[in-house]
Amino acid sequence: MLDFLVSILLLVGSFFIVVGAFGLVRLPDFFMRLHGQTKSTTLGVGSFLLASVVHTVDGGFTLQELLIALFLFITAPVSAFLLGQVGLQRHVPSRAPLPEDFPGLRHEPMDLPSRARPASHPGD
Amino acid sequence: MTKLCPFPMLSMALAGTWLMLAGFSLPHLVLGSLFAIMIPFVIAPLLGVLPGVRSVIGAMRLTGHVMWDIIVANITVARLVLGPVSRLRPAFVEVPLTATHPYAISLFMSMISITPGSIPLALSPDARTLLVHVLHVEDEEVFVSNVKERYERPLMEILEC
Repeated sequence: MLDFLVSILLLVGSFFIVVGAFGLVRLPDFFMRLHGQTKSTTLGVGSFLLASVVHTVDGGFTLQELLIALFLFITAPVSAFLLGQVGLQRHVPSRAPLPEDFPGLRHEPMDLPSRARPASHPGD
Repeated sequence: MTKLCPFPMLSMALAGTWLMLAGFSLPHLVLGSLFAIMIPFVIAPLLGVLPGVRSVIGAMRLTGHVMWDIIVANITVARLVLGPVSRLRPAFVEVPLTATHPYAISLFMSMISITPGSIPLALSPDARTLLVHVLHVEDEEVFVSNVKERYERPLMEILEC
């Protein structure tokens, strides 16, 4: 019975992670693809952790799964936020019109080289 | 006691985390308590003013709300991603903030971020407006009032700020 529950949870988790990967391929622009990452780390990983809790429940109850979920929920928003910041500052193509007048954002696209140039030394 | 343990909630959380990570035993209890007393002193300059927690029950209810929203939003977003992509209407939405405390704003942003379908991407320099990218939005005003009502208001009721 427990194995059955574990299998169901693993299948549900896999489904949501596959959907997240699917979104990465199907969605047309950078900002929409960002949503895939937050998706798979919440319900997908959440179901996996729940499956792990159920699987180990007769061999002594551990709370480490809860900590994994906690650390994920602390770190995932930060990485999504930073990626989004870069996208906004560099004006990557977006289907939703980019906010032109939001305070604190650059108003022209940054002119960055696609590869880092070797730094020039002041002594040269 | 306040000299030895200036942030009791943080110390308790640290000790609890350590015991959850290492398993409960007497040596780890001692080690965890040691960390719980020392770490707050080291990171105190980074912490700023910690908000107090007014209602633990409210915090638990909000956690439950967020978890429920994660499940519902995941299913909604899965349907959106698997359906016709051309029908999606993504948008940048500006959410005016009522909360002013940095910890409240950061928690609010994390909650928006982990519920799929919306990601906060920028905070205005005066910390009054949040820029959120939404995967699919029918009505921007409904979205704004929804997140403010569901997350920000209970958050401000829970935190003393």
